[in-house]
Amino acid sequence: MTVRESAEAPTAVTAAGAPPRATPRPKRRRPSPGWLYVAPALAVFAVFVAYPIVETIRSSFYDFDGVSPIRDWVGLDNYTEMLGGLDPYFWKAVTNTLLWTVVTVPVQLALGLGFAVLLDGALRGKVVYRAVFFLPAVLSSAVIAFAWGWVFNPDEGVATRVIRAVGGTGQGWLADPGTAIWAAFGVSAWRYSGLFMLFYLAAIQMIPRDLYESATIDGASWWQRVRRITVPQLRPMTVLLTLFGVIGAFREFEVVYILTRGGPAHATDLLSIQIFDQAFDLSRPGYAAAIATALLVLTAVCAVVLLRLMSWANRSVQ
Amino acid sequence: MTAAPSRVARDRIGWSHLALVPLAALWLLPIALLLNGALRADTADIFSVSPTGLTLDNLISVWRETDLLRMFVNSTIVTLGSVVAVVAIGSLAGFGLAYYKFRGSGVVLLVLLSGIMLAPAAIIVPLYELVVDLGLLNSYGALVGPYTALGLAASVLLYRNAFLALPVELREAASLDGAGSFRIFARMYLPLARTATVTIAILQGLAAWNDYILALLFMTDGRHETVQLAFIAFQGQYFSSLPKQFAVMAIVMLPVMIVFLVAQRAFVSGLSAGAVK
Repeated sequence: MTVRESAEAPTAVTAAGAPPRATPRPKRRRPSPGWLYVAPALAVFAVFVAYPIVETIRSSFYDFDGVSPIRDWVGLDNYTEMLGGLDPYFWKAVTNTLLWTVVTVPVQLALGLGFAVLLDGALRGKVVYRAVFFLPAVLSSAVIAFAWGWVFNPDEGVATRVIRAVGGTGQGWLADPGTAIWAAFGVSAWRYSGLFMLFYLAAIQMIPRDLYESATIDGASWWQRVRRITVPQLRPMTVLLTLFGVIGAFREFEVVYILTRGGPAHATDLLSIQIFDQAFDLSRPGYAAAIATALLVLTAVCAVVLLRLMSWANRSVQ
Repeated sequence: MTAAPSRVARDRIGWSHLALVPLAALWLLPIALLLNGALRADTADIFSVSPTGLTLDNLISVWRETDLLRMFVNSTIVTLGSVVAVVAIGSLAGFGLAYYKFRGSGVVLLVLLSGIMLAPAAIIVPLYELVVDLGLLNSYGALVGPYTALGLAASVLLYRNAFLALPVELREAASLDGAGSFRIFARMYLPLARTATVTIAILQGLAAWNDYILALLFMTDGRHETVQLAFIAFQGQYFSSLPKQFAVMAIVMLPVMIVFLVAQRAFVSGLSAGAVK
C-alpha cells in the first residue's frame, strides 16, 4: 500500500513518486487523513487564538465596560479617537513601539554577532562566556524586572551611582521620562543578545571551512575574514533574527509593565501596555480592542515585509 | 589544541578577554545583586559588597513562612501539561502536514504559523472573557490551553521540518509492512524526531514556566498562583524586609538557573538545532 493520498488525488500525486494504482477507489472523495492529524491543532488554535482575534476586531466597534452585559455599537468611534489625536498616548505608544524595534533589534544583532564571532574560535573559557551571555534568556520577566529594578533603584542602585559618579543628578534612569525607555532598551538587549549569539554560533558552524582556509592562504587577516566571509554568509540568519527581533519587540510587555507600567508620564508606554491599561484599569475593553487591532495590523505588515526580505536574502546568498 | 596559535590569533584572543570580561561582569550584575541581597541579614546591607555577613536565614525562613512550595507545584503542573500538549498536538499536526499532501495543507500551515508573531496582549481581552465563560478561571486549564495554543506554531513548524527530513524509503518500507499511518507516526517518525522534541520541550517549558501576565490575570484565588506571582503575593507580607523580598525572587530564579547550568548542553544544542532548521 502506498501513501494514502494517491487515492484522493491520483493525478496530482502519482507524479510525486507513488506508482499509479490500477484498482479504482470508491468514487466519493473522502477528505485526506491528513486532516485528522491537523484537527487537534486547528481546534486548539481556533478556540484560543482565532476566536480571540476575531472577537478583538469585533469588539473594537463597541463601547462597553467589561462588567455589564450592555454593549453599544459605536462604529468607528474608537478608531477616530485613537487615530485622530484625541488620545495622545496612543501615538506615544506607537512611537515607542517602533523606537523599540529600531533600537533594540540592531543592538541585539550586533551584540549577538559580536559574541558569536569572539566565542566561536579557540578562546579559553568560551563555554563559560557563552553560558553567562545566554543565562538571561532563561530567566523570567518577573525575576529580570525585580533585579533590574534594583540596579536602577533611585537611591542606591548601581546604575544611579554611575550617573552620580559622572556628575549627573536626579532620580536615576527609570524615574526620569527622558531616560526610562533607554533603560528598558538596555534590559532588553541584556536579555536577548545571548539568544541571538546562540543562533549565530549555530549558523557559523554551517559556513564551509574551506572558505576560511583559502582566505587565510591568500593572506586575509582575522578581521578581513570576519567581514568578507562570516558576516555575508550569516545574512540569512541575520534576516531571520531581525524577524524574531521585530516580532519580539511587538510582543514586548512584561518587563516594562512590571518595571515602569508605561511610566513615568507615559514615557515607556507600549501598545501592549496601553491595551492592558485601557482594558483592565480604565475599564474600556472596546477601546483596548481598537488598540489591539492596530497592534495586530502593525505586526502583520512588518512580518510580511520581513518574510519577503527573508526569501530574497536566502535566494541571493546561494 | 594541536598547533600553537599564530601571533595574530594570540593577539586577538588577548584583546577578546579585554572586551569580554567587563561585558560578562555586566551580564552577571543583576543576578549577583539579587543573590547578594537575598543573603544579607539587614535591609541596610542589601547593596553591601562585604564578603562577610552572608546568611541563608532569609531563604530558609521565606520557604517556611510562605506558600512557595504550592506555587512551585502549580508551575510544574501547568508547565508539564502544556509541554505534553504542545508535543502531542504539534507532532500530530506536523506529521499530517509532512506525510500527506492534501488540498489546503499549505493554508493550514500558514494559519498555524501566524501564531508565531501574535502578540498575546493583542488578544488578551477576549481571551480573558473566554476563560471566564468556559469556567476555567483559577484552574490549570486557564493556563494550559492558552500556553499550548501560543506554543503550537513553533512546534508544528519544527516537527514538520523534522519529519520532512526523514528519508522517503522509511515510509515506503513501513507501508509495505502494512503499518497504518498512526503506527508509522508513533513508532517511527516521532522517535526519530527526538531532537525536535527536545527543542520544543525546552522552548515550551521556558515559555510556560516564565509566563507572568496570563498567570496574573487567570490565577487569582490564592491557591493556583504560579511562582512568577510570588513577588506580588508576598510583597505585603515582607513589606519591611527587603532581604526577604530578595530571597523570594532568588528562590524563584534558582531552580531555572540550576536546571540551565546542569543541562546546558541540551539547552544549547536543542536550541541551536531549532535555529538552523
